[in-house]
Amino acid sequence: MKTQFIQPRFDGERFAEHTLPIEIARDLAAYETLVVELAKHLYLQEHQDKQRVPKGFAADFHLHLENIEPGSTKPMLALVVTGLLALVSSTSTYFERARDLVSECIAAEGSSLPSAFPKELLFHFNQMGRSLRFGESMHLPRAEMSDAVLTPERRKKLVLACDLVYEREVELMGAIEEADWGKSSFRLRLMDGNQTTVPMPDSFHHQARQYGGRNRHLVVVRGVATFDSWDRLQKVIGVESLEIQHNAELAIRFDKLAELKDGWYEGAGLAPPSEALTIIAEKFIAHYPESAPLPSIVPTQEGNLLAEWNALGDPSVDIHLSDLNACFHAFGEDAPDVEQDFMLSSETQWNDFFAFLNQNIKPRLV
Amino acid sequence: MTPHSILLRQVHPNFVFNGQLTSQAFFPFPKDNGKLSVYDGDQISAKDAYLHYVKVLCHQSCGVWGVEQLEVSEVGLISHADALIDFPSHAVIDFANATEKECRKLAKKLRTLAAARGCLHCEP
Repeated sequence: MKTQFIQPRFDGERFAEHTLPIEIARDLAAYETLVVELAKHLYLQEHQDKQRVPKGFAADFHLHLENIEPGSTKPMLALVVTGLLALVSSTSTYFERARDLVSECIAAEGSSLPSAFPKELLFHFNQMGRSLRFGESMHLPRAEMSDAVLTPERRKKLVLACDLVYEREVELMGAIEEADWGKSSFRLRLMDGNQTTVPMPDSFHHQARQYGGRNRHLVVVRGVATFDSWDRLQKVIGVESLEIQHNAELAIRFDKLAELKDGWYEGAGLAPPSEALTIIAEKFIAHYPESAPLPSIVPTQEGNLLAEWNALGDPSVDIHLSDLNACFHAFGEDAPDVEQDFMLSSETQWNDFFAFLNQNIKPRLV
Repeated sequence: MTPHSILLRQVHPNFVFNGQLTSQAFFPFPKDNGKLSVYDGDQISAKDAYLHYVKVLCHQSCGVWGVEQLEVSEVGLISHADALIDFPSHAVIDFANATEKECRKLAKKLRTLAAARGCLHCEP
């Protein structure tokens, strides 16, 4: 038996094309779970003599995504009931009451939650709406009332009404400082200096060994973490992906350079040509020598690059992107300046170039 | 201008990396025929030069660094006043016909002198 249950509407930039990102399915699944748990609670409240809900009460209740209507991102959720539940029509009203109570809870002003909504179920908002980003919202229509609007901020408040922390999706970047093989976790030193412990799958142990303690190569952690009411990171509780970013500082720098547009300098500076910039970026990020200090890399007004080191002799390399020519210069200390030109068109030439830098970029004498 | 006049150079944010001033800040733009525009510090303060550059000329600057005229001549360059009608404190450091490689070496010397003096007015 199938009936229309609710038609939420999603607002925000990602929904402008009237499509539903796949990850939103997790929010809808979490919504279904909350409705089931709340319906069970309502049933038991009204049947205090019973310890359990009737057989099939939850198992036979399913929400199905029926369609997405044009004009907005409005997935129609259909209630599909099977088994015994389909035969006992009065039972399905618990799910409808649960639906209305969830909406009432979301729409409640301030901290005055509806008394019928048990606080212990508020933790479900850790999952429901977790895929929503800043500026996005999930609207649940209510009969003869304004929509209940779930936003990331409202979700946070609902969870914190029953707990000291709430969960949200994170992308963290930092260095692997120490690994605990027994607990299969590592300590992540974040870019802002804070640290946190990250659980890791066994398949990541090899990379943790390889990159642990090498602060130039950072790991990007995508997953779920808990935060307190001041949005301070408390704990990483789930990891979806771990990705090593070689020479992260250089990678971030090249990303910035790629964003430059013509006219960036006094209305006339040229942006570095993207194809050549990509070649340079890939080589530097993947093969820059581990023992050489990192350079400052800046654009020139003509759309080329300057790499400069705070090192002995003030070394620098002017890289011309039109012909991939690099001109190295460093002042000599009581000796002639060091100057050498390189073509950067082949693997061998790149290897020679990096070997030269490795040999000629030396820390300042103290 | 005297040998101890400070020549004030506006520095584009892209020319400072992790707080390090790079020599590109003192590298002449080819379209300017080897002439690096500066403000005559005897006529305008670093702060007012910054405000003029950002508010009147509507260009980007993350701060003002400076070199003495004497230092400029010691590295082998000439500097002189180059007042414009609506920009009386304008001056230039003339790289003349220096090649690109020569310009880089000179710019690095100026950068080192300016960095030693420190940022004279930083973007608020």
